[in-house]
Amino acid sequence: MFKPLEMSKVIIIGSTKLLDQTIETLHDLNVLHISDFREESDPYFKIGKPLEKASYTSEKLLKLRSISNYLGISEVPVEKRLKVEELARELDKRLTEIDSKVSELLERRNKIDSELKDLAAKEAEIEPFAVLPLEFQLYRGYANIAVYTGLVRVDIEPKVQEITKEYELFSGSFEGQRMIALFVPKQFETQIAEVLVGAGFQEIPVPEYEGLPEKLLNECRQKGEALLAEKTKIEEDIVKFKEQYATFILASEEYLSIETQKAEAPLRFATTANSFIIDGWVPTEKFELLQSSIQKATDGRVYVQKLEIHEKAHEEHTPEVPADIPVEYKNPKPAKPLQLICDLFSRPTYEEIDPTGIIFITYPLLFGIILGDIAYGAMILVMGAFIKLKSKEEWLQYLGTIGIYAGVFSIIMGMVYAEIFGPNFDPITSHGAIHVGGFVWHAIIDRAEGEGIKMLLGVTILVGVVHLIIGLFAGFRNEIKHHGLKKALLEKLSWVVLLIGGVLAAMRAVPAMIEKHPMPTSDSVFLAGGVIAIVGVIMIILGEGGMGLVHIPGIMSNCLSYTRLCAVGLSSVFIAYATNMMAIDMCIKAHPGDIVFLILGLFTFISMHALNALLGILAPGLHALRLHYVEFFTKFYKGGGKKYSPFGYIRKYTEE
Amino acid sequence: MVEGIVALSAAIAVGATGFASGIAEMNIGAAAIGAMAEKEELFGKGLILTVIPETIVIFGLVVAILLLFT
Repeated sequence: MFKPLEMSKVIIIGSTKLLDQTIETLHDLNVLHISDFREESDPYFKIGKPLEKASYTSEKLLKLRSISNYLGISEVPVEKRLKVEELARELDKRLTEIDSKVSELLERRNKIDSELKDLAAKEAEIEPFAVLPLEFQLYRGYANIAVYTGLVRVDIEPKVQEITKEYELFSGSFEGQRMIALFVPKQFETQIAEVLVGAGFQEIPVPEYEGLPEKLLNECRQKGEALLAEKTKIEEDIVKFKEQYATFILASEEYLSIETQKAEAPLRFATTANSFIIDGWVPTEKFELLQSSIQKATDGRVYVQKLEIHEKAHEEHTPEVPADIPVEYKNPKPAKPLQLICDLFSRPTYEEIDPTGIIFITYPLLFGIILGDIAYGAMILVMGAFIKLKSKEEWLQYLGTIGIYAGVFSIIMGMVYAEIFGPNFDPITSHGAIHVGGFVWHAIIDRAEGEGIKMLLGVTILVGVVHLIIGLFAGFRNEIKHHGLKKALLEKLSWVVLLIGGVLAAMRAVPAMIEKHPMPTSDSVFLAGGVIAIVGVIMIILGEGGMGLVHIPGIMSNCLSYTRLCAVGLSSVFIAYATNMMAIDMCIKAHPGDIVFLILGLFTFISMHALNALLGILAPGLHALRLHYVEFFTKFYKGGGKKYSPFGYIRKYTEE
Repeated sequence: MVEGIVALSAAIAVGATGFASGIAEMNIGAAAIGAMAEKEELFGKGLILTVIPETIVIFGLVVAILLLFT
């Protein structure tokens, strides 16, 4: 459980005539992680050529993917899997069918879209003239009359009358401004122009249409509605088409992807004119299966050999383990979900300890210490179970399980703190105890009052020290493998010694500081702690040189960082405290029987506790995570391992 | 009077160091996210480098505790 899945290096050699069967078998088995061959590394070999069907399948795949994109096809639940032979036969014919139908539909839709745009532009041109009672042709074609159409800010009639009595002025209100059409004899052009400029004239040119503007506008609108109706019908057609063909398209996509994968596989192998060599990794437990399947498929004419790399590692202290062994986790089922947390940081390398087994306990524990409320814990448990039941994807299921674990530990710590919906949920919890029926349960650490907080502060630092010591022991074990016992001792165990000494000394020194007594230099625990700490410091200097001293404040900072377990938790405690005080004491208790206050109180209670619960998922989750990544992992974890991705495919929509 | 000043200094200790820690982690965090956008594996290193300045605020906390309790 603390080591990743054991891998063996495998080499497969055969004649190029057998390449097809080999690839088929490997793909079906889905166990070999292929090490891609790099041409630069070897002068005799070249990468292989793709199989002939590669161009055909990748072309079809491209077309299929673009169709799938246009239609916006996403995952559908699988009712029936399609058979591969069926697909292979029908693919060509159906694909051209689908392609032409889809492009037709899309073309019509695009045409309608552009027509609608034109109509909108036309409407915008006509609209200003709709407030004037003239037909369009009456604005044009005059020899002696000047026509002005546009918007003005003030009434120009008096000014125009000053210039001439021979004019026609039509006006109307358009979008809050005054729209005018002014007709005057041409000789007054310049004077009129002055008047118009003074009135803030904005010209609107007369469009080249005929007939009454209002009538034209109605025509446009009717046409627009007809086009929109047509467009909705086309979109419905597209949706129906999508539903009809979705499964087929997804299944064909899967089929073609698999075929393309198989056809392009030779690009990853080393080949000569007549032979191929496949380099890869397979889990040791699956090697027999791999060997026998290939022997069967090729009548024993392909050579499969396992290369042991582990024996060498045990003999020397510097293992010649190549850097890119693919890593797959090997954890018992309950601990599997926590692999998400480990992967989020990075995959362990092959020689490292796999910390999932440790995180399995410590992450929910730290989460619970921060949240520590029975009601919120129960809510998180229920939510986790719900997500786990309802989701199809693996990572969501893992997330749900982590939620369940976190909820369980929150409930346990809620019992320790005696908090349900906060520490003063009358009449169930108050004064550090839970009263249910006649049963009374006292809190072990009461978070709502001073003494309890001080105790919690000390407890959290102790929890932190234990967590760090676990991490350092893991680092110790990693270092033994790499650099030998002595170095591991001096580099990692020295810190453990320092931590233990420091804790012992602090246990006596801190209360003395708080109560303003002098340092208890005669106390045996303090002296023992001091001596152990000094031994630790000497070991650190021996192990890391002078730089080790510089890291001592670092470890102190790491320990104190764990006080956030207390601090973040307290924030949620006091939000709940205030909510309960407002909702219960101030609303319900102070005005018994009054329905308005009852509703007000209930509303406050539900909304604030919902908010607090939401914060109670984000904050503890984040802080527990950060404590793991920054304080815990830096003591031993390097990460950067390569993910195990075997050559193969997990079929969803097709079957052989 | 003395208690008031002690409380105020504890507050300043935590507040100013918090501010300093925030300023310190500001650019490192932005750079870490940028690096991560290009290469997911850098998440671990990025996160650790971003929170290295946290020790500043821890020291502030220690000073505040010392002030309040001694």
